[in-house]
Amino acid sequence: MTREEFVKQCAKMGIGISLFPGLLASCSEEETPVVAFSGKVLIIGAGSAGLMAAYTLQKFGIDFEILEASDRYGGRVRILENFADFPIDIGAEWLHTSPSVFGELIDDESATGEIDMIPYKADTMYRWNGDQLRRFNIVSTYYGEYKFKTSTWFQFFDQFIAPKFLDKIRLKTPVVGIDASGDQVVVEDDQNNTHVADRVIVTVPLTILKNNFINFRPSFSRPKQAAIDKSIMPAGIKVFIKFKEKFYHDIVQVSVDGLRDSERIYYDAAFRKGRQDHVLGLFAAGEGARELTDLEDDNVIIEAVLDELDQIFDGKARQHYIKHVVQNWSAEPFIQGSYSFGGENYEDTIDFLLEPINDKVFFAGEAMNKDYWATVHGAGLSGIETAKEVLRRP
Amino acid sequence: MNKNRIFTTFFLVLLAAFAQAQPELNKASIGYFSHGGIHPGGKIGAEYVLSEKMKPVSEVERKISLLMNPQIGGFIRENFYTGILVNNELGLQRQRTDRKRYSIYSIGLGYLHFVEVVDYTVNLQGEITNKTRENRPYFFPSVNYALGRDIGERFGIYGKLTYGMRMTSARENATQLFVEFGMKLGLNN
Ligand SMILES: Cc1cc2nc3c(=O)[nH]c(=O)nc-3n(C[C@H](O)[C@H](O)[C@H](O)COP(=O)(O)OP(=O)(O)OC[C@H]3O[C@@H](n4cnc5c(N)ncnc54)[C@H](O)[C@@H]3O)c2cc1C
Repeated sequence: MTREEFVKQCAKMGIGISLFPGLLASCSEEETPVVAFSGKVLIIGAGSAGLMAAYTLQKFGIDFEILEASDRYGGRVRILENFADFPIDIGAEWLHTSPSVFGELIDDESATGEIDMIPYKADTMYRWNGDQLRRFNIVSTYYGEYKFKTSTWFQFFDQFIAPKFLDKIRLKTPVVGIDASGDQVVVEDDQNNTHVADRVIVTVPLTILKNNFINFRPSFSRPKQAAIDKSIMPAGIKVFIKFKEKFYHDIVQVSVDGLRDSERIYYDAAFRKGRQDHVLGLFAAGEGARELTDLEDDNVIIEAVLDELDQIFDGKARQHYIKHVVQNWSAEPFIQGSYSFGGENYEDTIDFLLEPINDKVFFAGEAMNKDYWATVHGAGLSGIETAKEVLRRP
Repeated sequence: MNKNRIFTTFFLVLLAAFAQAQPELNKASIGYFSHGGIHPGGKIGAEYVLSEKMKPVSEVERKISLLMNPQIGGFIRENFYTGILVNNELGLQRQRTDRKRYSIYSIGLGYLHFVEVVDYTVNLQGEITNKTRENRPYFFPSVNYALGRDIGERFGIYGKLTYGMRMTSARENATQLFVEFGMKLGLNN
């Protein structure tokens, strides 16, 4: 039995893990005790990884606080309400794995609650090459993901995760320095306030690490710095447009500059939600997004999007247009892009990205999950794993 | 020609072929049948010989058989859909008398039925607690290619590709691919 299995087994038997960490340590078959750490942890960033790290520490009765730069928690998981007759995920929207992952994230046999899901397999799939709209419905045989039906990714965190420690999330606190050279770690925010803890879990996006927004002391090891420099987190944007009529297909993939694998898709955001409103979503990342995110402002972006839609659908976009919202993730000061794009030998790169500083500053986030990088659940699982890693070390 | 007329004509041709010939039940087949090559299932079928003729090829002969191949298959894609295909094919089998290998080119007309999962509820342990399903029937004309090999007197193996269009007036047509591997058992003496 592995340690994970053992912990699960204890939970099933009703043994309160947070009440008996010492008991767990003595039960473990592994040499490293499960909870060898007691002290304070600071989590930097309240996205999926940060929230799940906090949720895990809370379970084990560890003292912690989350410092979040923006005025809300969720990170790249964000909700848009009152735009249509259903809530919209204006950041991450799809579940790119089996819904059984909710069980893995919550990891609590006694938790109660339900989530309505849609098996997301579009019926009508097209590709736009800048000139012609071509049907490629056969792809739906191979394509399939999941989506929330009545709620959103944000509501998953808002309902089932964050309420357990809302009082421990400190918003509008951008961290600018982390000093792990002493006995304790000293974290400095942009108002020159210092926060002291025994361990720190950093869950900020790759871009924030790449552009040295946070000053680390001691600085990263060479391989870690090289891994950060090598990693890519390109542009990302989402646009939602409400129309009077549904004149579009379930999915239209746009080939940008002949790049077939560019991520730019228009999709029916109301697909199988059983609602009245017609909302078309645009999701773009990488090169497919940059053409838009580089534009001057949201007004210019929406004009470019409507131009493209009018081209694809013979002028129907402007004819049926009601309203829109643009979420330019590249322009968000504490995100600055979409998600990590992997690349060659990315799994090895992740080992370096995860490398702690002085065994006191640990890392987690979507870019650091070997199995599911670039996803919400991957970020969440990475947060859980890093929190457990902190617990394992005295 | 609209798609209903194509179906009707094709169906009548199949019926006529079957009625005029004196079909002889030749083989039964059983195989692994998959939607798109990845969503697994199974299929059983029968093979009737409608007519047969020999054609000389250099020093040997090639047997050309007109076959009728009714079949039924099922497949599943977990959490997404379950499907049934009832299909009848009319095909030409070509086999040199000195070779064990043969190929069959056929056209088929079938009824494809999907039971699609449209939504479901997941509890916080990640278990699916309640599924809503929807029936979706389609016509399914197809072209097929099979490659087979006789291994003994009454036994053989085959692999087959089915490429077709699922059609209904309720929604847009979509091409479908099925991949099949199986064995055939000879039934006549
Ligand atoms: C347009 C778009 C669409 C996507 N679609 C999907 C999808 O459909 N499905 C899916 O699974 N994934 C999707 N993703 C990816 C997914 O959103 C991310 O992988 C995941 O949410 C990242 O979680 P995280 O916790 O690693 O990072 P984040 O969510 O970015 O959280 C990091 C947090 O750190 C904060 N922060 C940054 N700097 C500082 C600082 N200096 N001090 C304090 N706090 C700081 C940020 O404000 C943020 O709240 C999408 C992403 C984008 C951009």
